[in-house]
Amino acid sequence: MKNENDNLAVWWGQFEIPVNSAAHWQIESLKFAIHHLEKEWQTSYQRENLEESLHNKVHFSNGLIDEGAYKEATRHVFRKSSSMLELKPQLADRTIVTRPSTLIVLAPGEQVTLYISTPLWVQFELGGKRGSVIEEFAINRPSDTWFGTSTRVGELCYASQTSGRLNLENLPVRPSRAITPLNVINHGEDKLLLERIALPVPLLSLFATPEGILWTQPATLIREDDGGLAELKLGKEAPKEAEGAVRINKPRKQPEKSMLVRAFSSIFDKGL
Amino acid sequence: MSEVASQASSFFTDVNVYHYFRALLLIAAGFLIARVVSAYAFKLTARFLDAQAHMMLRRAVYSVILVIFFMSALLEMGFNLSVLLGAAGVFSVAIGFASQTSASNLISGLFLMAEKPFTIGDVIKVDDIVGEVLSIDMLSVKVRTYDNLYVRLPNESLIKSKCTTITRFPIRRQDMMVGVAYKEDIQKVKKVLFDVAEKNPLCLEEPKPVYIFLSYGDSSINIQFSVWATKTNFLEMKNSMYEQVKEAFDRENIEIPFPHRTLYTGAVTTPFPVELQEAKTNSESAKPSSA
Repeated sequence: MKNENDNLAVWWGQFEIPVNSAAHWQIESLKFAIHHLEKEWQTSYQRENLEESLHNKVHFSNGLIDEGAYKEATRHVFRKSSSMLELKPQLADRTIVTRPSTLIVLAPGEQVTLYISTPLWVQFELGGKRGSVIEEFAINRPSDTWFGTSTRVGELCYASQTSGRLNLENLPVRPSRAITPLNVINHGEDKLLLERIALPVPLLSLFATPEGILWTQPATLIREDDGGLAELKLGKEAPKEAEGAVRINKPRKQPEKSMLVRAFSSIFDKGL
Repeated sequence: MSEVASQASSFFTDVNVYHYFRALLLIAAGFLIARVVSAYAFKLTARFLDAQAHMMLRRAVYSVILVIFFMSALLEMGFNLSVLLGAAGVFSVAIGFASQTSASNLISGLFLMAEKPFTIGDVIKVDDIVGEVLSIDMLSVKVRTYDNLYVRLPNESLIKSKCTTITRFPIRRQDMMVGVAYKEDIQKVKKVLFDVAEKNPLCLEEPKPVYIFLSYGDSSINIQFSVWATKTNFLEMKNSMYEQVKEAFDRENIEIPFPHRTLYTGAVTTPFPVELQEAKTNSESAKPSSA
């Protein structure tokens, strides 16, 4: 049985792939496939250059695998394998650094809500009692970036390709990205320049609305002193903007109740 | 026969033999205990100490226990330790003079350990040697080079010469030297370079790439384009950036010129004789048909 579908709103979920058959997906620039053999799952992927025309492209088909179509292939071998497989979106494995579309200055005592869109990964999870992730790929591999006080001290992060917006309407909704409402409160004594903001997405859960828009729970950054450190508070439920959203994936790292994170940094232009 | 037997029995009953035997036992026990205790100390401190301090602690525990047992063994054999230590003092002066190089390496080793310019596992560059540090010892530093050779660097030379620790900081910068032809639009070249850096995921977005117009060269405009990467991805980023810059220049028809040489014979000399090959072959091929 051949099943094809273009422009799916919901690309994740459970799939049944019998032995000796395969399933192929394309989400924007990432083409990936899974091939179910006797006691073995083969995963493969290939990435095209991300052009404007590929934005929002989602394609699914099942059938037999085209051996030569993918460059990177990995074989996962099991004693026994069931036919059920779950495809899940997941947030990035490192903190995402984003810039507001225009420089925002937050006066002492003020607060602002920014909508930040962060890139997603796809995960293959096998069914059965001990569900385990066998493979994951970034849909669009984001650029690495450095977030810290100097080139000696800091953290390796990913740079978000899109900027944070004050209005949700201005933020493009894409199948390869999730939206986080980020509330920034300035309790410091001087004004806060929001040039670069680090959002620790490995601590966030992923929620999906019935229309297929992906969200994370809201996050709040409270800046207490005049440095770049802030207290991070995470909501438990989906944000109010995401009506009818349900949780579809757990955070990569277990968050604590209240955390102090390095969240704000001015750009250091000490390149020489 | 009976004489031999009585001699043997007197030998075995001799107090000295008993003491020698005990001394031997002490040394054997010393080796065993030093080994066990140092291994235990090594295991216990694995979480708190870095690789270098960890290894030193193991060696120190082993040596101290062994020395204590060795001295007890000497005492057991009836040696007067104070005399021995005095003799050792005199000896050490003599040995010091005789082994100046080793002593200087030893002192340099102590300075290296205190200064900590690198630790085990770091990649260092000393003169033309680049490699991973395997151990930092009293006399020398052992390094494994990338072509898998074991190089022993004397501590004294490390103290004296310029030593670069390549993996000290988490991120590194690659200075790419790019030459473009004089006819090129510099703003376009700049944009192409920044676009390549932006699209390469291993090239860090921040710190931003640095663009420097270096000079008007002999045959090209020389530009320095410096990009950052993590130390683990550095080589991969360097290769991919050079490849992608070349591809982008080819795509945008930006010329990377070869060194140019203009030959000039001077105003008063006769011009270079020029022979037109094409005209000659044409006239030659035309001859038979006209004949």
